[in-house]
Amino acid sequence: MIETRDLKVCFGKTTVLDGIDLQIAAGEIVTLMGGSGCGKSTLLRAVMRLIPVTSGEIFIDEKRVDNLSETDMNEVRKMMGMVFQEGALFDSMNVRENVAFALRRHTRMKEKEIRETVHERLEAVGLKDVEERTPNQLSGGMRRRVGIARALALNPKILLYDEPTTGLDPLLTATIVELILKMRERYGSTAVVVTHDINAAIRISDRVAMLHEGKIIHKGSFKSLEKSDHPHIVKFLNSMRDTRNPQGGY
Amino acid sequence: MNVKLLKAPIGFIEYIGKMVAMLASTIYYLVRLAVDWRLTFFQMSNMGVNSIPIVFLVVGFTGMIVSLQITEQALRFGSTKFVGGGIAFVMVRELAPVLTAVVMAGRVGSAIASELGSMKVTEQIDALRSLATNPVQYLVVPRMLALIIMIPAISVMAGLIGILSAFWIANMMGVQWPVFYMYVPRLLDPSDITAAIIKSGVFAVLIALIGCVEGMYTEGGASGVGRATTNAVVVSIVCIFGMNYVLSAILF
Repeated sequence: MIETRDLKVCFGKTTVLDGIDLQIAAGEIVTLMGGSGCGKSTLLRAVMRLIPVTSGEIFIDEKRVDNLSETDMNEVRKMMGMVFQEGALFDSMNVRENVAFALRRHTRMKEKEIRETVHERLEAVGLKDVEERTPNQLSGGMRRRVGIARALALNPKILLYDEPTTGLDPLLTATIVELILKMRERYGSTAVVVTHDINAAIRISDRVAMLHEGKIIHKGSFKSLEKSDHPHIVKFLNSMRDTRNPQGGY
Repeated sequence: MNVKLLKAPIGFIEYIGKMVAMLASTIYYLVRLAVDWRLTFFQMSNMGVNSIPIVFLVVGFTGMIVSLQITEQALRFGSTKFVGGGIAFVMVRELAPVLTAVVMAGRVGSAIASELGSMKVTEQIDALRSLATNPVQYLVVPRMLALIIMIPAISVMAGLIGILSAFWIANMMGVQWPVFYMYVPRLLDPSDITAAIIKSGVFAVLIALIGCVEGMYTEGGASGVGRATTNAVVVSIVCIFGMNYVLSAILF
């Protein structure tokens, strides 16, 4: 469903992604982990073509997209959805207009159908009676859930989550984690999740890709990650380990 | 050669490049009529209609002060018949288009830069692209088109307000309407009004383009938005005065 081959992204003289090879199968949830500034969000943005790619290839649903024009890429983006860290909701619109945005622009749905779809998507993310509210009237967790509902509007095959749980309390984090799993169950979407939250990664991931200094240093299940003897992975996991837990949990 | 010395000219060329690229994209969508008319009408109302009172106030007061100065001198030399024609000539050719553009740069150019800048730093422009929407088509085209329609229209109305305000003062100083109007048709040609409309259209493109470039390329959070807003106003006003000289030399 998603594949990158020798993907390289540079900002000026700084190389942020350096030869990323990643294959993600349909329906799979892959978590991108790593320290701050290692290139996780950049990889997500490169896949969505929100930033220019320096070299390498990106395939979405077996179609090469790194060389597409913006207009052609927009056709590919219609089968993708992206959830931004702070929601990135359009603050000049209310919740209904935010979720309905893509439906109004890219479908010929009638207003009644749009309202029903918006209601269904908001219900899927556990939100009721918020349609008339503006983004500044929502809590951080609600904003992210509306962001997920908006990304789901066109029923995309691929969902990209950029740090969906960062800065949320444990209860809200658990809600978002449940939501990511529910979205796959309900819509069968492939997901790539960028997160620092190791517990969230354990719960949602089929596979984990660990990035360090712009390179993938490990790909595989979380168990295989724990068995890795790569010094950075050992250091990263140890820093996350709960020292009060005798079983050595996170 | 010192690299720092090259920074300013490279930055200038880069800025021109951004403007040309954005203008080319905007023209591409305009030519294909890929215009969101609902958003365009909203911007015409929001940026255009709502600016009318402040433009009329500025141009009206300018007409009054010009009239006060000119009528006083005209009364001294007994040449009041030239007052109306002279004021109308200056008002239509220069004052109304330039003052309207300057006020619009301050009110609308800054608003465009701050709105788009805020959207940029809060990832809303990335969100637009992720929703398969081209930001130039969705954000720039309606604003540019709205200003191209509204600024010349407001400018023409402002010219009339300026002339009427000037007459009000001249009249209070003893100049009657027939005398005030006597040289207006002789000094003012219909082509002057056409040229003023062309001028205002060019100013509209400059204001929209600079506001959009500043906004869409904003970097650095809240301070970046502030910087973009200030730059939009300063660059627009400098460009308006520079372009006014060029256009006046060409058109009149």
